[in-house]
Amino acid sequence: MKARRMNLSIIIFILLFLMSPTPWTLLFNFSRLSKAEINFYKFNSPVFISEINFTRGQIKEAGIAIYGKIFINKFTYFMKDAGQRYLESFDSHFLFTQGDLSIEKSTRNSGPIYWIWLPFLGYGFYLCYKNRSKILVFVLLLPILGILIREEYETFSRLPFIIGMYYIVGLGVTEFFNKKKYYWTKALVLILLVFEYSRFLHYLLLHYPYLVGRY
Amino acid sequence: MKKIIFLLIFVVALFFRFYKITQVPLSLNWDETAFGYNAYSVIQTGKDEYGTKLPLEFKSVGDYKCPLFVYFLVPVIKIFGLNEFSIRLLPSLFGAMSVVLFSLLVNDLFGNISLSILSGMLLAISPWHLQFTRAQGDVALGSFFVILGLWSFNKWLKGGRWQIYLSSFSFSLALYSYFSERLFVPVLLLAIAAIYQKEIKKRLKPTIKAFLLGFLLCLPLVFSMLSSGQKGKILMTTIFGYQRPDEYLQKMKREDIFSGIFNLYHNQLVEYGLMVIDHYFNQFSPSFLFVKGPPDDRQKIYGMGMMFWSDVILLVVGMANIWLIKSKKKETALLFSWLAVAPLPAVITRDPVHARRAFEMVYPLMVILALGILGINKWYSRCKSKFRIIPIAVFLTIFFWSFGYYLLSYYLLTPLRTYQGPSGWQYGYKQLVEFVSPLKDKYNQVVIDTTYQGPYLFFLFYEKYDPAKYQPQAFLVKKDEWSLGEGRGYDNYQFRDIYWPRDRSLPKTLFAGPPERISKKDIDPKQSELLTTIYFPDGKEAFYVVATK
Repeated sequence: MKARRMNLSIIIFILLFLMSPTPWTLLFNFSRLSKAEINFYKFNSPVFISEINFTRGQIKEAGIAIYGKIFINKFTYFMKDAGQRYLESFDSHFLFTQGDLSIEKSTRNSGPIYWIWLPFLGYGFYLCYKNRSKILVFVLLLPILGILIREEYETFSRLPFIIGMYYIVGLGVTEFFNKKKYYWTKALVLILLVFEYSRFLHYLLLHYPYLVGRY
Repeated sequence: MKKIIFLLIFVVALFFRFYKITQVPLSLNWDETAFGYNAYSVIQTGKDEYGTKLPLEFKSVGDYKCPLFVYFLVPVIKIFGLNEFSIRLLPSLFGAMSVVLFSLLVNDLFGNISLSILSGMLLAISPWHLQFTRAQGDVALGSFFVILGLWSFNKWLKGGRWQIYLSSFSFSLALYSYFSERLFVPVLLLAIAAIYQKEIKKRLKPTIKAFLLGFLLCLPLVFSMLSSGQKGKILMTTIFGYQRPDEYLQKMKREDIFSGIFNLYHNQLVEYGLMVIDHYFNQFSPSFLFVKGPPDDRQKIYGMGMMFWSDVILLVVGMANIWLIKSKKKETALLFSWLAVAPLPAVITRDPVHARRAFEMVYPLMVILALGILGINKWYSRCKSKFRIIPIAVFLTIFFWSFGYYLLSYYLLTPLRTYQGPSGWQYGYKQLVEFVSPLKDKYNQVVIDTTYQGPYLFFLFYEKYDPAKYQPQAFLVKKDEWSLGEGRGYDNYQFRDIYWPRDRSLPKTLFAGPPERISKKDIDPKQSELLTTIYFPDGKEAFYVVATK
């Protein structure tokens, strides 16, 4: 029974991911994206250095240069930036509303995950936590990949994380739909899913081509 | 011992709220000066700046401010005078009192002294709480009354008698303090009624009496909410008055193949609904909480969000340790209802994210952070590994670094980046008044440019201009129905946009405006003279003061 449910949740997870905006958008722009360069994160970015120098100058003028050295340096800036990039993956703007900042990797009308999956994501996280599932730790580690790429809110480096999130959504959906009650809620979820999915497809097919200059 | 600890929390809260109170934030902003001058006007004449007798809404620059902070300022200004300290005394004091009261509330709710002390200490040094309890007083006042209302309600639940009336009174005062509370308090009360319905049913009579007391106290507010000014304000700031741009609608219609598709996917319900959901979750986004904070200069702390970086860890561990309070089901439900309801005032407004309107979020978040500390402590005492000190050391390093960075940012770096304009701290007006005021009688007119908005308030405030003389001259000029207004002027002052090619021909006139309005190269020495330049704290030019001959 448990194995059957596991298989079901894997099928649902694959189905949900395939229905999500990310693969559709990436496929839509496949020819362009396949030629795109990967820009890796640079520790010695000139933007960093100039900001550090400018801020340190202000601190020095205030007569507390030592604080500048402790709080504003390359290491702290890198750590802060790395933390920011890690947390970007959990940003509602990235996950649900807009997705990647690049117009070629997101329609900017929805993120990689539909809003309707949010309660199931929460439920999935709860199930993982309750069952002390190692997948939870794994999913929480996956956004580290996003730190390696220079662009903020970048999709490719976060694909494993998005897939992981869909796995957790899948767990929540499977568990919820296996319950022998909440018929109305289930019906509502399906209606909202159809609506969200069709809304995305309509945007992808009718509005998005204008946005990326396909017409 | 308990009392000493709570006293210590109060002292810490007071210290962080009063240290350099008149210097950081750098200057008063127009809201603060408006509150101050209206209170001064009430002291002198019993009327607001427009001559309305003891109003329940202060028109000010057309934003119809809540009245309670103004009336609370009356005795303070009477004692300490019309100055920066008077304006910032109350938010700091009420902010510090909120910290202790919140600590007591957590103790009463969860019966856990460690949780209560930790929540109080975390709140005492919380960047989010400090940001709005060192300045911008109405928020601090409203929030204090919410905490007082909750604390007294909880006391009543535990067998008290009169506390329900104090609770009702406090919640009513909160509605008179700050706009966000007008949405937050009623929804929170509904949640409370749902959570504690059994207890309330058992003591229905006093509950009804308290409800009636609150209703009567709020009745005048209901009438003032129906005024055209308030309606205008609601339409101006919330999504209810928001109209999607015509170009956008035309574009969508054109691209959709037939109108059915447009009506299905681009109707107001769908698009506004998505906007509301988006705004709601923005309030919980890591970018807002830990990384960047809100975009508004007056709300933000440079280089960080509204919480410390170390709070990321505490928040995750705290959520995982909710079971520590699971025996207190109703109290936990109250905590999460509080957190869920708190962003609502920010959600219905047009700004994508807002720290001030969602200020009430800070309290339940502190409890979760405190749970995080307790969770870490529990893990540490159970863990037998000799390396268990390493994660603790890493956490403490992040915490002390974050705290140190916050102090550096708040006291030095943020003021150097948020001094300008109405969304910032409007630096430069005080210096301008000090220079211009002694000269004004030598000129036919004094024209002050309104690019940085609200100069009339600063002139009235720093000149301590007699309200009885100002009231007959008060006139608010609005560029359009969606913008805030500017006082037209008084005596020989005019507050308006300067158009230098035209204005420089006005004889014997003193002008003060930013370099964008008065170009230095266009100041012809035969016609006019640059008297002084007022600078921003980072050395950029703020105002030129130019006199024509």
